[in-house]
Amino acid sequence: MKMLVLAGLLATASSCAADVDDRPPRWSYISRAIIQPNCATASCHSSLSATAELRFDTADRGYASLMEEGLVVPGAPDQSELIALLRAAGTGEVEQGLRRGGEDGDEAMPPDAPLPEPDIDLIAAWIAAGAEND
Amino acid sequence: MRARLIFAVLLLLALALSAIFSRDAGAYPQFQYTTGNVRCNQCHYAPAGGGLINGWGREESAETLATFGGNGELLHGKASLPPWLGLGADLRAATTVTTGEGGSGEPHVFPMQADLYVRAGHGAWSVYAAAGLKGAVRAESEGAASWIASREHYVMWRKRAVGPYARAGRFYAPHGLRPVEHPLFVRRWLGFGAFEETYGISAGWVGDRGEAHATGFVPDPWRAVGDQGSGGALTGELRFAAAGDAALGAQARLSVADEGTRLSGGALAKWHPRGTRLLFAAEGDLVRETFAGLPGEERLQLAALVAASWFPARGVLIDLYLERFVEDLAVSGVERDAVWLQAHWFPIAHLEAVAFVRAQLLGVGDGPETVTAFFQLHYWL
Repeated sequence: MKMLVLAGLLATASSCAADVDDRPPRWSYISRAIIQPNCATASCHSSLSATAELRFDTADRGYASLMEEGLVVPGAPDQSELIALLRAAGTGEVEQGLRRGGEDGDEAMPPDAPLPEPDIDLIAAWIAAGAEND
Repeated sequence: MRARLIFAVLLLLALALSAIFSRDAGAYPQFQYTTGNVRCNQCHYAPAGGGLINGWGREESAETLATFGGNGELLHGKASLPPWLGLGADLRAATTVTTGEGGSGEPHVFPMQADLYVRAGHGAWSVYAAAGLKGAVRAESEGAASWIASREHYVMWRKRAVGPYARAGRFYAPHGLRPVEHPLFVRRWLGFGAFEETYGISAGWVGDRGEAHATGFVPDPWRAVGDQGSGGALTGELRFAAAGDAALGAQARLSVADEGTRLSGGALAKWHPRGTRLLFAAEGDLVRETFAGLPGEERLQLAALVAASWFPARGVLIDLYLERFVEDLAVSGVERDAVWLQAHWFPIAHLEAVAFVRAQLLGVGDGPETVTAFFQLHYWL
């Protein structure tokens, strides 16, 4: 019972977040706060695996990967494959074949573990602002 | 002669299988108290548990854990080793599917783990190594070299299982509850995901009434996964009687990397009610992260786990996990909540079947949900 109370208190305390997201739409923040912990895992885009030749384990390598593979169109989040991949993971569009911006054959990212929508919005804001390695 | 031949054949078979799969090896904290053992290192060579089991662990795997008993010795007792040498292997194969709004719905059958373990000791000194090939749900374009991995290798000084120890090499800095399931939030988001072991020097003291571990670490310079910081970790646990067996502990970890700093701290609790086959456990950690190049920018995270484990019959273990991870306590909609229901069956020594269903909700209210079903067969030598 004590543990259930503790869990309830933790859940309640951790739900009191602000509705305004004032996190910086800058790559140095996005890379470390969102991309590295979600994408640079052992089986995916780390130095251990580099699946699809993408590595996100540092900000510079991650930025280079995105640009070299053409996953980001600076200033145009709606045309950026990165956003399409991330959004497909959380909308059920995978089952409809809407992968990799509408093409079949590639998996929505991260597979089976979608990013929270505020994180995708922050990445889109960074792309809209020019997608600098800042 | 025949036993040696069988041993050689099975060892070669294990090596061959090791060249196919691999993943994570770990300890089951659920066994603490419920099996009559209070320390992880009663059954494992490692001071904080995990990896190769020792002679007592092999006996327990047959006489206490398995429904139909068996022989927990190496190769089911068909071969014996000199006392200074320990060998073993973990082989796991699994199938999983994730459905729901955030799931792909694609089933996967995959090799999960194939690790060989070697431990050699002389007096107070021992060397230990685990090596195999990394398992992955999705192999895709990974090159063959990326499959080879040694999760742990270290040199250790320890006169007795109870008392002080020191070790140096590659291993997880002991921290918190140390559950075997690496997707659990208190592992996945706190720097203890699959293959996130660091190189370090650890020293501590292990006893029946408690244990304490201090570790200094640096990231793997060749294959760093996860946070690539250097730093230190402290963890400790005190055990006492409270209508049964109980433990309270605390843990802290500081990691300083070129791109930022992570400082985490938390507490754990365990309770085994007297006369039952139940174990309740909980862990909560807060993480404060700062970002290099962004002065004043920081975030506070929360990772929490509440677990209940029950042994309804010999050889059967049921786990219920409730967990929460908040990526940033100042931002709405970045919470993850999950519920696991997991069953293990140990029919005979060396064999385990695991099945779980995990429901995860992302954000509160409108966020996507995923439901993961998983089945695993585990054989160890």
